[in-house]
Amino acid sequence: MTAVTVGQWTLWIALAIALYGMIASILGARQRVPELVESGRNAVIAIAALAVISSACLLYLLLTRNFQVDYVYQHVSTYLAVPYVISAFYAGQEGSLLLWLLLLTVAGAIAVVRRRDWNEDLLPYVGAVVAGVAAFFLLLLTTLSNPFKLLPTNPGQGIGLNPLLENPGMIYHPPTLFIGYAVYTIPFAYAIAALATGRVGSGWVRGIRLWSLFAWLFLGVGILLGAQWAYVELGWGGYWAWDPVENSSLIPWLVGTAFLHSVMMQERRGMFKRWNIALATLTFALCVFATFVTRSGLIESVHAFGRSPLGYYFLAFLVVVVAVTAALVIWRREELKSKHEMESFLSREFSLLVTVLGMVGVGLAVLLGTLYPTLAESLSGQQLSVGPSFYSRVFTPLGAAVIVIIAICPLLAWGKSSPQRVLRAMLWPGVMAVAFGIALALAGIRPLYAVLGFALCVFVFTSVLVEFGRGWLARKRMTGESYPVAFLRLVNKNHRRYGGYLVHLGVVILAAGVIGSSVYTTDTTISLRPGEAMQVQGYTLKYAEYAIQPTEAKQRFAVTLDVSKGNRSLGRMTAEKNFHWNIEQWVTEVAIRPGLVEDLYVILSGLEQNGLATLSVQTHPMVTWLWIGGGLVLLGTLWAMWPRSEKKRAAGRAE
Amino acid sequence: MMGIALVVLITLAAVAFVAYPLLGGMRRKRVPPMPDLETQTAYADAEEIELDFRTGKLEEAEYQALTQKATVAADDELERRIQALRKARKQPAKPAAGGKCPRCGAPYDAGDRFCAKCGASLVSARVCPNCGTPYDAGDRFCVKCGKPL
Repeated sequence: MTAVTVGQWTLWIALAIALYGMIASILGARQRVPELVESGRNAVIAIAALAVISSACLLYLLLTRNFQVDYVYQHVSTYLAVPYVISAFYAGQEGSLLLWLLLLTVAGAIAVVRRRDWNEDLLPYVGAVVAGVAAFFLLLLTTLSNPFKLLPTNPGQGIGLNPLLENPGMIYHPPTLFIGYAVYTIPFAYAIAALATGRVGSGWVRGIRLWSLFAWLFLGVGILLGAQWAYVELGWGGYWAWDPVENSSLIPWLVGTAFLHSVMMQERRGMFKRWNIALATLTFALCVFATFVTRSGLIESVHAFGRSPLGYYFLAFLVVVVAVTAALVIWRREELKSKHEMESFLSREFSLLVTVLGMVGVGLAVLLGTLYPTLAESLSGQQLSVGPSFYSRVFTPLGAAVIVIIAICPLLAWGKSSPQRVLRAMLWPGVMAVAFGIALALAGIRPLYAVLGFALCVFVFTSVLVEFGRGWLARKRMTGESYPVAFLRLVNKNHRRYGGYLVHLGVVILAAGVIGSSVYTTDTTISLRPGEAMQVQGYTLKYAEYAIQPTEAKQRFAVTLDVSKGNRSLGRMTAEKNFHWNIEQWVTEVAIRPGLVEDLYVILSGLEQNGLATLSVQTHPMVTWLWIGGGLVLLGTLWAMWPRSEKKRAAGRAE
Repeated sequence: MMGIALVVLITLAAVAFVAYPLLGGMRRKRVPPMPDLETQTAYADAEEIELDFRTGKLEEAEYQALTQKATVAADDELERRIQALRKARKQPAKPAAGGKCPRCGAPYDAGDRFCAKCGASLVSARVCPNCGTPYDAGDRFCVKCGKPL
């Protein structure tokens, strides 16, 4: 029980230190007492260390399967494999909150240790905000949501993890998202620090560039991992269901995207100061909201873990966050005025404004769709649901608008572009898009709005390639370097620009995947006896064997098929549908054969004792494109984050 | 018991760590400077404009005007930075107000740049302790008298 005592008490100590750290940092900074500031900074480091100790205790209890601890009893069993025992750390509400705290405080400690001359004044407030947010989570962990709560006796066996969660996705998806959520605290902390000190110029914005890219990257990758997990495990043939929990992770990502773009405006032009403060706060608040949605059960969803009063605490916290920021913004309204004015509609500035408005708009639309059923229910008492049809009706035009923005925005220059220039820049992408669209239409591809969507994607794709090409040729002409050298130097000279373009490329490939998979999915239900074969969508499925067998955890039902297309064998696929004893529920294990053109996706709907199997055979075109596009987004972001050494920077300037 | 002992230990360590600066144990670490934070922005701006122009996204006149603006801004930043650095830097190392020549031990007055007796430099830190000849960083022997440095 040592681990229980230590784990629990470290949280209480951390709470006391967090409250002290917040007060000490603010007092020290305002009264200019360096000793107090330093002490507050040490407090932030101390709570990170305490969070590590407490987390280690919980992990130890999980690994030793100490079932007297309620949390361990709820999420671990004796036959659960070790990787899933580790992932049980964040399978429930208490552990998830502890993980949030851990990631937040570690990021905060790194932030306050990275002291530079430009952020010395800001850091005490950054530390204070980190300590304050940590105090909120510590309050929950020590009172309502204690991961170390004991049962009166040791039951000897635990309930175990929900089998739906027994997928490699469970190991990667939640922590990735949580890193994104927690790290978005740092940009918010900097925004508050900038307001508190009145130094709302470009300093804080540059300071958080890496933090916000890092958080954005993890959030995005986490969302995609979740989509991939849903696709392979849940067995409804989709990767996105507009489920409130999925939505709530998408919203901060969308607003975070707006933030990444509006930051450029402040750096280059001294504009958008209020936008940046607002977006940093909004992104953080939405991350907290996402945690709250997942953990409160206020909004009905397959992910929510049952109702608890936790929701009201989260709501109160959000209100405090927004109120404090709003008050500080009003206090600093003079300093927040823009240095520059918008010069022209045909400018990078204006297109960035459109981008920011577009992303925030899409984010708010998702938020509205997510909240609407709850709001409507509390107002009218009637239960409503907002289904995929709402989202597809709203997001088809919005998505198209976003792709148009991505297409045109990078073609415009800072200051002012002339219409002729812009039209000339759009020539090749336009020609390619029209040619591609006509070719698709002639090839009999319908409906026309999908053709239009693909054509738009081709437009962006070409325009990004043209951007690379023009820069490349311009550099070659300027320097006389050989083609490979010129290209490498070009992309290496401006990581942000070309990393950003790579991200755009990834996003349109992803968008093409979304269009393809949502318009052209097919679903055929067939019944087969052992030995029989059937043709579905050009595939030949031959029933090879079946298995019905009980195991320790489940009753297993499995059907194995030999799959071929034409004369080419595609190997064997096994689809399963298992009844799990511990949750008394059916869980499907989908058989998937991924391909660049389409995925073959087989779900076992039913299997009788004599081997008669009912199968749902689906084809999902272009789903692989989502993962390829996601990969490019990842690479592009890493490229944009990659630091250039000071020496190289100096050399670049001397050229 | 073990648990309680550990908790007490952790509490003491944490409190000590947090209270350390208040008890006079603060290390005033020099903050590593990030010299060209602002200039970098301004010059990056100029660079961006140039690339836009060279890839045909900017009119000549517009390019000239923007470059003018950006370079002036960059130069201003640089100048401001230099001023700040000058102000921040401590007074350049002067010989101490009076003292003894490092070579021959003869006393000298404040402001003297060479020893009045043996001619050794009193300004340069890198002086051979034997003969007073200045040497370069990395030298291992004096070029004049051959003594190890």
